[in-house]
Parts: sequence; structure tokens; C-alpha cells
Amino acid sequence: MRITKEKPVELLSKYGLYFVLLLLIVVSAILSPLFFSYSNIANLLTYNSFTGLLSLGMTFVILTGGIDLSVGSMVGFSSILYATMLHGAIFTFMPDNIFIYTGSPQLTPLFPQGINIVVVFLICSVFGFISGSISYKFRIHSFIVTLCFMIFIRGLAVSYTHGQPLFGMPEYINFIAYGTFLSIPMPAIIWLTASVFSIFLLRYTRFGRGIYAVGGDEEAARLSGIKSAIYRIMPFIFSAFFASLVGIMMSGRMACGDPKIAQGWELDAIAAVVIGGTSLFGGRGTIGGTVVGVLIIGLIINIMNLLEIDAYPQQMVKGVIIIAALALHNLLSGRRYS
Amino acid sequence: MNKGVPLLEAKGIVKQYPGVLALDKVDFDVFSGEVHCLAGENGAGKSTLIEIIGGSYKKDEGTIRINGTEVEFASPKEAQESGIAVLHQELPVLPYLSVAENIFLARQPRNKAGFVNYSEMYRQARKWLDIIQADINPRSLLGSLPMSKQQLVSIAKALSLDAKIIIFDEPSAVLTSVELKRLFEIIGSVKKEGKGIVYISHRLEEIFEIGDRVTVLRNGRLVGTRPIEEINRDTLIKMLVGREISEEVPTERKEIEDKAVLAVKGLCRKGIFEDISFTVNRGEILGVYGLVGAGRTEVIRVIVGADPLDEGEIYIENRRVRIKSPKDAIKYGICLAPEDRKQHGLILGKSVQENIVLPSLHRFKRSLFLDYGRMRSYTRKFVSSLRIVTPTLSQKVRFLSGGNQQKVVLAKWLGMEMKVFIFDEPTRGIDIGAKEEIRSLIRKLAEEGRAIIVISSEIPEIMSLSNRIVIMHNGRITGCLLREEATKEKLIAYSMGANHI
Repeated sequence: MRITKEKPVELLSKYGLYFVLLLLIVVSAILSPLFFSYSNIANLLTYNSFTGLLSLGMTFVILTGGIDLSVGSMVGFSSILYATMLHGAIFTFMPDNIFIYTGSPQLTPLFPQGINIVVVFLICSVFGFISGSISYKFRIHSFIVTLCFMIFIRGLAVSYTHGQPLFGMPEYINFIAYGTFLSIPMPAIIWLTASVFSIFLLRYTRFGRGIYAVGGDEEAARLSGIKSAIYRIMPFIFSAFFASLVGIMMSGRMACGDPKIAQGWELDAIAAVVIGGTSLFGGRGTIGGTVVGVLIIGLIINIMNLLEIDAYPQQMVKGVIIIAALALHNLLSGRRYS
Repeated sequence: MNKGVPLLEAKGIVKQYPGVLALDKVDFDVFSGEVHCLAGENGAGKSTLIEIIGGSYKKDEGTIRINGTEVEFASPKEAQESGIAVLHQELPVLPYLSVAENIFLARQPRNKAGFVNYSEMYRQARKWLDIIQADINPRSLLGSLPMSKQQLVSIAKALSLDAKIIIFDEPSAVLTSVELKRLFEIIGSVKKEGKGIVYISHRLEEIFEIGDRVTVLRNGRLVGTRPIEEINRDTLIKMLVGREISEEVPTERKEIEDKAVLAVKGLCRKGIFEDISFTVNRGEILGVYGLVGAGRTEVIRVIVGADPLDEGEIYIENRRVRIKSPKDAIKYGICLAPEDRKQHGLILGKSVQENIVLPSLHRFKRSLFLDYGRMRSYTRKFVSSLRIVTPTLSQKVRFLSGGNQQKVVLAKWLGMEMKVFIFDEPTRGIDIGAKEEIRSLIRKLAEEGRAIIVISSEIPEIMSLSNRIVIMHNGRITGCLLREEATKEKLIAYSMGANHI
């Protein structure tokens, strides 16, 4: 019993994800000599770092058995909030009396530069705290609570400027959006750093282990002396925080605050988490899996781009592939304990 | 042996549930270095008592002392901190975490920087597992281990929590005999270290094998506490059963036609039950008695096609049939009123009418659509003939009393002209007046020539209903009695595994 050889099926279900990633990389390399070019890899990492960051927060939420549908809206909200703050206000309905829709390149930031970003993080995290607390306190499934928050926050975001983008971004934000470090794009660095941090948090702290315990069986966790409130609420704060980070990075890339961006991104994030092997019932899954899940979806899109498949049919392929991946995964893992 | 202050002393414990006095001034104590068995029939109050001691339920009256100091537990955690570990029959565990992590949940060893130190955690887990000589890898996922090993992990956890009192809640229900022997050895060695053990079981042989003292509860009352040397099997059975004789007068025995409707031969489902054979004749009520975990419900589930069958044959009116799904069973005229009617027998959020017509929906088709008028009159017929008390036919079943819910389950099948009716605990959770009503409905079904199987844990009920009684123990039939021969003592003796009386 001590050392048992793992059967091929078990190996496949355990490491299948990595095989798939490897397979996709090989396929991509064969399909196009451009795949391993610096610009393709850099683009691949940059474009996926946004979903990547969202899916990190989502992993925390899903590990406790919840779901966060509000992250897409949160990206839009944080983007417009940040832009508005750069123009000297924290909130404004119908802003024509303050500044024109197209914005003014003349920035009059509310706070000294870096502080504005911190305030955006704080406000969004408070929203995360509220949605998590409502779900916990009133025992409403987070699917419903965050669905309502998704609508509410998007509504709030478009109220700022009637849905118009607000132009004008400071210089330093370009570094986050477009800069490189050791020729690695900054968004990718932020994503991968956050991933490593999350892995560490989940694996090496009692807090992280508690997330697995509460998500696995709240009663078992309670009998071991774990109070579940913090484990149920914190993930929503993380999720909102990562969303606001993405919102600020996106603002930098577009050189404007846009309340309408990131619509439907929550679904991409959920798909990546689930492909990465995290159970929607909670208690099972890893950040590593999520990162691979993001890369798998990203590579599939990348391959289709390399094959010059039109963007619209790409969505169909994406939908089919996500279901196929999950069906295969469940077929294999269903046998694990039999 | 039992000297000084007991490790645990519960005095005058009272627990009242709506309508039931679950515990009536019960005393119980455990000394260091003894195994104190707790025995009693189903529903005698054993579980309630240990849940109170373990901090899961609150007592209404009485005191609990640990080492002579009075304590009041608000949560299982507080009981745990006072050195009490309850090993529940169905352990709440985290199957997707490692063995070590289950042992050290929320108190994982940490290094100086405050991070979880896995190698230290595995090392400590190894140490505790070695103490009970459990050959378990602390790194393997708990869910990948069989139940018996999971049980060993929780024993290791209890030891690592420095529990002074370890309570085993019917561990034998999930263990094989070899594993049980191993468990007894572990209990023996833990006992030598001065821990107090509470061992709950309704298997007599186990009580005599490991017990130092035994306390018997009956109907929430303390019957007595005796050192094991002072009693034998017969006195223990007498304590368990009490002196009173069956309260209910058996109804007149009607001649049963010797015409088998349902016969099963050598049914076997590996590891759950084996070699189950019985027949039910036309107009006969066959009672199936046994303690919780004897395998009664599992046998029934196979007959109605809810679980697969490993071996054995099922005959309907002397014709061999293969039942692969509940749909097959219904086709052959077998229906089940399940024990957990709220979960398996009814759709609580739907109306009386919708529940009653559900299995016979196909009969109300009129071309493409359903004939609601006919459905209504059909429902009304059963509501009046079974005297289902409901304000309207569209009342949600959730709001009916237990007795009326059971009647709705019955009505579902009555219209289908079933041949075999199986009732699993038909009167559980139903108040006393309605119980008798349900019983007389069951008798009426039999008189109308149907074959009936009734599973019940209530001896008076099974004696008053059945023409014949089959008794199960540990997945086997240990006895089959005609009603005339059946006595409460015999039923209990067989159900506890006695082979002869």
C-alpha cells in the first residue's frame, strides 16, 4: 500500500492537462514557424495575462465552492474609476459640467500619482467584500449575488460617462501596460508573479489550507475548529482586487478609461479555472492548473489565428473545446478511486 | 479498577425534542483506562447522549464534569479542547486533502516564517500513525483510502489532539472482521495509556469482547450500568429489551394463500449482504426486522432496481425476471415507499395532485395533451379513500403532515395496480394516531391480495403487522419466524447476531 504504481489512467488524469498544453505547443510549432518567434510568444503572454489575472481570483472563489460573475464589470468599473480620478473626481454622474466626454489630456489627479491606483484597489476590494459578505451572511449562492453585482457595477461604470471612454493616461502607466523587463512583457510578469504568490498562499499558509478545507466540507472544517466566514469572504476580495488590477492595466493599454470593456471576461476566467481542473463544487484544484488552463485556451486561439481562421467561428471552436476538455477530464477522473 | 475521579461524568442528562423525551435523567461516566460500552436499541438515545458529550447538541438539564470540573460545551471545538474526541460513524472528512492534513487541519506545523512545514507535518503524522501501527502513507489523499483506514486516520487524529476520552460510534458498521480485530487491539493499547474509551455498539459479541463495563439505555432512560464480568448474554438481552411484553395484540391471522408473488433466491451484493432468500405470498405481509446497518434497505434497493445485483435470482409469480432499473421494477409491479420519503418518495415542492399522478401520467394523455379534469377526479378518489387531509389538491406536499405525506406516496402506487408493495419504515416520523391509520391501510392492501414487505425497526409495529418476520444481521438473514412464534426477545437476539435461542 505504501508505494503503489500509478496506472496510466491515473497518470493521465493527474498530468493530462500538461500533456494537452505540450501537445498544443507542438501542434502550434508545426503549424507555423512563426509560433516560436519572440513577438508571437510575447503577444500570447500579454493577451492572456488579463484573463490569467482574473482567473487567479476566480480560482480562490471557486475553491470555496462559489463563483464570481462580477469580475468583467469590475474591470470596466475600475478602468473608468481610475480615469475619472485622474481628472480629479472620484464619482460623477453625467460629467459634462466637469469635463467633456473625450476627456482632457490635461490631467488633474485627485491624489498624488500612485495613490490613485491604491484607492481604485481599495474601492473595488470593498465591493468584493460586500458581495462575499452578502453571499455568506444571507446564504444566497454567490452565483446570484455576483450576477446582481455584475449588472449593478456595469451600470455604475457606464453611469460615469454615459458609457463613453475617458481619455488621458499618465506616462508611468505605459510601463505597466507596454513595458518589458528582461524583454518579458510587464503584463505577463505581473500575471506570473501574482500566480506564484497565489500558489504560495494556497499551499504554504494555514489560510490557504483553510480555503481547501472549507470548500471541501464546511462541516468537517468546522469540527476541526475552522471558522468559515473569512474563508468565504476573502476570495471575493481577491477576485475584485485582481479585476481592478486588470482594469488599470487595460486603461494603460488603451490610453483611456473605458467602462464597457471586459464584457464576458468572467466566463473566460471561469472556463480557464475549470479546464485547469478546479472542481466547481470546491475543495479541489490548483493555481498551476488554472495557469495551464489559461494557456490552453490562449494557445487554441493562437493556433486559430495562425491558421487565419476568422474571429467569429473561433468562438464556436472555443465553446466545443471547453466542453470536450471537461468531458474528457471527468471521464478519466471518475475512475480514479474505483 | 474504577477508582478516584472519573475522566468524564455526565449526571442527570435530559434532552427534550418536540414530542419526544430523547434522554430522561441519564447518568454516564468513564474512568481512565476502561472501555465503557453503550448499548441500546435503535432510538434508545445513545447517539443523542454522545452528541451532547461531544458538544454538538445542547443538553436541557444535567451536568457534565471532566476530571471533576463542571464544563459546558458550546461547540464540538470546545469539547475537543477538553479532551473529548468523537469518532462518528460517518466521519466528516476532507477526501481531497492528504491524510496528514486531515490530521492537522487548522493546526498544521509551521516554520519560523509562519508557513506550513509539510515535511514536519508528514513526519508528525507518520509518528501518530505508527503509534497505532497503521500502515498508511500520510501523503496519500484521504479519499483514496478504504473506510477502515479512514477510521484509523481519525483515531490518529484523536490521539494527536491529546484526547483523554475517545468515543467510537458503532465503528463496526463500516469495518470487516479483520479490521475490527485490529481496531480492538488499538483500543486495547490506547486503554493501557490511561485513556477512557466509550464504545457504542449493538452487537453483543463486541461488547463482551472489549467492554469493561456496559451501560444500557432504553427509550431514553438508563436501564443500568454493569461491569461486564457480572453479566452474561441473557441478562444483557433482558436489559436491552426490558420486561414488558409486546403492547399490541396481533390481529387475527387470516389464511394466506400459498401463492408466491415475489420470491428471491440467494441475493448477494458484495460486501453489503449475501445469501438473501425469501418469498412473499399473495395477501401476506412479510416483516423484515434488523438493526440499523443490517442491510435491510440495501436488499430492498436491489429488488426495486435502484442498485445492481451481484448474484441471485428474483421471481415474480414464479417467472424469473431481471430488474435493472426502477422502471423495470414498476413494470413487474413492484413499488417502494422509501424510508426517506421526503427525499426519495415525494417531490415536496409540488402539489398533492402532481405527486399522485406522476407515475401514471401516461394514462391521462388525450392526444398530445394531458387531461387535467381526469387527473383531478383520479386524485380526488384517492384523497377521499385514503383520507388524506389536505386543504386542496394543489396544496404543496411539503406542508402536509408526515402521515399524510406517506398516504400520498401510497396513492401514487395504488392507482398503478401494483402486485408487491414494499414499505421501508412506513411510520417513521409520523405521529402516533396517524401511525395506526397507515398500518391499517397496509393491512387492507394485503387483504386485497397484494404481497407486502414491511421493513421496520419498531418491534411492536412489525409484530402487529407481519404474518412472517425475517430478521437480518450484518447482511445476512439470521432468522425467520411465524408471527405466532415471534417474541420481542427472539427478534432482538436474532438481530444482534444470535444464531439460536
